[in-house]
Amino acid sequence: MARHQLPAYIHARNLQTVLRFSSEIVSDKDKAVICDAVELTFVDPAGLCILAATCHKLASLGKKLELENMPREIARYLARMDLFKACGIRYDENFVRHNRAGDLVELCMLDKRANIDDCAARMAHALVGSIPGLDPRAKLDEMTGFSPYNLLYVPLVYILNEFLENALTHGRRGGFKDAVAWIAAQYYAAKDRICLAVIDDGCGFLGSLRKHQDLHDKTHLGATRLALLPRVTCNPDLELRSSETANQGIGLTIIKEMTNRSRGVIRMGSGDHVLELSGGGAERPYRITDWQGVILALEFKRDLLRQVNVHQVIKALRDLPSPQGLRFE
Amino acid sequence: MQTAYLIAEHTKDHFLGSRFRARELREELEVLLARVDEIVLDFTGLVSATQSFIDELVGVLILIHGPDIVQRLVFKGCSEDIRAIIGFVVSSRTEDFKRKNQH
Repeated sequence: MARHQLPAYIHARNLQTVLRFSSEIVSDKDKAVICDAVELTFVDPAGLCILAATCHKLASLGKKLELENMPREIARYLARMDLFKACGIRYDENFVRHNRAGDLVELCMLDKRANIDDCAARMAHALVGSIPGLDPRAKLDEMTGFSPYNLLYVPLVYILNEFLENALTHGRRGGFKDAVAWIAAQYYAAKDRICLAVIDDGCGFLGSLRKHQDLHDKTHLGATRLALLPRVTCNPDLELRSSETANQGIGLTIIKEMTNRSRGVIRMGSGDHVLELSGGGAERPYRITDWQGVILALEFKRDLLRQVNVHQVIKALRDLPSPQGLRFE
Repeated sequence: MQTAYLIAEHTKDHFLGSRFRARELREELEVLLARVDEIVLDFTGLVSATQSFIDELVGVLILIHGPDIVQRLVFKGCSEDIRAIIGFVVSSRTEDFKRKNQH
């Protein structure tokens, strides 16, 4: 029986190692996949999602993850974040679960589009609520018309909605109708940093855009780059079936711009590559062990994200004349 | 005849998010559009929206009925975000409609 070593750092900055580990345990032949977690030191939202998605994959193969020697503090944290529940791992919680909906964001799995709004709102409220000094009832800022709470809530809930929308629509094409998404987020007060991740097990960018006329580089990396361009959509013929919603192909472009303006980092993994984009436009592609689906992991400085206005981003992307005949009251 | 449609009455949050939810609202608008000349889409109380939501609500109406449908809509109580997104969606879906019908 093989025994695997859980990496010490399971986070978005370490995707190569984390995904190699995920692939290694999925290909284990045994029904009980045993991992030594003695070195486990830190897990971020992307790490939580990848572990949960990997356990989901194991379960679909009739296998189960067993973690041994995990340090008590990190085990408590992972239990509180509902990772063990998501992974079907029995864990005797020897602590009291207080209702901490206002300051803690548990890992969440989403399989129904009808739940996107509620899930995104709950996550964003919990995340903003975890930051000291932000009162949802505070007076509106005269310049922006937003309260300090909404200045942060709006970009976060925007990003979460669009990521989940992508996962449960584009991700479900090409024979992946049962694809699901995992979502997690965390505010790190010491660095004033927000990290969030949405990960799915769907068809991936290449699966979604393979037939697109502008996809000249038919690789995972080529498809990831194309997905970021404005008005690139997997149903460009504009024919709507009654059972479908539309798609304008601008969601990821807006999020890329929001990340850029907040000098954050976005990591987009699909297939055999991650494309890492840093605020200011720096791009770093790198190879990973194959991931079936899409990994979207973002990190930003809280204080810079709250300076990002959706309307400014939209106006910057607009390359068409203002519409005539619109009536606003 | 004109009727008002209060978006906030149909949502739990003060943010408009998914296409799925927008589609439910659009289907109600389609029923109303068959009965009245003009609808006042009232966004009062809503802070912002995704481009996807507004596209599914308004952009798809343009794709189905053509750009003239916008003349039967009045947008009330829009935040700066929602106003900018409506402008973006109406411009681009009008172009899409024209392009599709040229071929």
